[in-house]
Amino acid sequence: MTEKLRQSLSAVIDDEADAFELRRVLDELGRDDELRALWERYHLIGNALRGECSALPAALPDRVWDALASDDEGPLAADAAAGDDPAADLPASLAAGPWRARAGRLTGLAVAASVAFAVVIGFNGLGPGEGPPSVQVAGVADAPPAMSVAQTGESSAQPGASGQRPEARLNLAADASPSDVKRAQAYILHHTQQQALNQAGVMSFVKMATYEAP
Amino acid sequence: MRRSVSGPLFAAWAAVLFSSALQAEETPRQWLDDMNEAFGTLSYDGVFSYFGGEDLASLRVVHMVVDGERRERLVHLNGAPREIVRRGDEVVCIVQPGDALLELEESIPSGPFARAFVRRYDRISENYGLSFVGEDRVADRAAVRVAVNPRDDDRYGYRLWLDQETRLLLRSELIDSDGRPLEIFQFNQIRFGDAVDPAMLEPDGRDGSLVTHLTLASKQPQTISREEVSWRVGWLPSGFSMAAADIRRAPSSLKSIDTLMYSDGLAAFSVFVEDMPERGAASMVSRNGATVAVTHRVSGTGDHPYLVTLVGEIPTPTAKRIARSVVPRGGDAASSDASSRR
Repeated sequence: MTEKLRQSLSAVIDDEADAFELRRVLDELGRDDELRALWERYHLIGNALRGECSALPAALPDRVWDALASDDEGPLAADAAAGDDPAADLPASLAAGPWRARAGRLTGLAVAASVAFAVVIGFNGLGPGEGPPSVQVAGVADAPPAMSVAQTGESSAQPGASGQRPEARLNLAADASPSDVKRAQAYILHHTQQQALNQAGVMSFVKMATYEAP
Repeated sequence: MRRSVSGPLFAAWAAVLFSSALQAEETPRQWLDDMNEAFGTLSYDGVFSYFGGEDLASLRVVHMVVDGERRERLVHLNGAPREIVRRGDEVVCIVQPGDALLELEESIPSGPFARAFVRRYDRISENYGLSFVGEDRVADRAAVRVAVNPRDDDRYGYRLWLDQETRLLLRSELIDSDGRPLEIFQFNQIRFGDAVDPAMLEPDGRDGSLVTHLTLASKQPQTISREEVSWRVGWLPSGFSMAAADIRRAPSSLKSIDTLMYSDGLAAFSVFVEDMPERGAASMVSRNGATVAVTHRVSGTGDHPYLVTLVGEIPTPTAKRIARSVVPRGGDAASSDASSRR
């Protein structure tokens, strides 16, 4: 890993990278274990600083909707299927976090952002006797993610330089894809509407009217 | 002892006694009932703020009953113009092209909406403790505060501020178990009665705006009998019961989606079960404000995978536990039904 690359990585994390740097870092992340480990550390640190490791992130609408609104389903689905999207290997937290601002500019990234869902909580957490929620950074689309970060209570799986998938991942049926996000959004809207139409009063349509964070 | 209390003073004293007697008689329950009714019967025109977890929104609401029909108009004051106009049971959304609301509308099988979540205040005292907690002032109006405290950790509580005069809800906070607000709704300004202009019920005609009708049919929707739904939740928090069950068919794929709706009279959640999609389908949990969405994979008969999505305003651990407990109904009959609808 060169110093240049390290700087690029910092730039990406600080949302200061340009498209070229971004691409370069993405490419390298897929190959360079050391870089990947660094990347993961940065993110864990960032998450911890933001208090996101233990708390559930306020996930959906904002980030997701921005992207959903700007991309219609066609290319979105196509990109995901093709798997050659530059964003396809992008961990969700990356797409969700510092990159949000640029999602509109970089087409592929808008897709990634729509998939973001912020941090996806691994489903280890669903089981009984759950420890601290395992924080998952989910990959995008159907392609196996190039990397993942997990922090589980029991295994305390360190995101290793080996780049191996942490155990928590195994319980995931798949990674959050655009269609997952869209489906979830649709259900949330449906639920909201159902409630709206059956509630008396002011609150009824408020959630619907404010559904998208514009 | 000579009576020294003068006439007017005595009257005032009597009035105080009388009103406190009234208050003692009136329960928080009564106030909630009145609040519910006030929403649907009063004329009001107000601007309120709504914080739903990530964003603070400003909206205007105008409500009147005209010729016995409820009319309501809700206007989003920030961002892209969006209005929801209601006439009786007809609901119309007016949005700009490209509004994500539209897109999603189309992405889910639609149909008449079940009357599922009518707030049942008569049931809530089983699951929530109600109490008055003093007085306050909201939107320049005198308000009475009511606390709605859940009796367990499977639901959220509320703090309510009701208008002393009309009993309309002036402010509400949906709070978690630590008392932190997850959602806040608050009128900043409000007018009642004759001060409300009926012309304000008419939507703004904006160029290029799109109109979408929500199918809020007044006619009773074909609510599927629960027997036909092939899934049930194995674990329900106490006090929740099924409010409606439904089977929808996605227009594109003709795949069916079983929908189960539950409520404890105040909190509500929906469970959707569908065939495992060919692509994607991650297990995930996501939360915004009080709304949580949980996606979980379950196995039907013959290990056929299904996807469960739970959406509701309930605490995350509760939502996860419920989603995990979803199982096919009964024995072979239910499951063969499930497979025949694939």
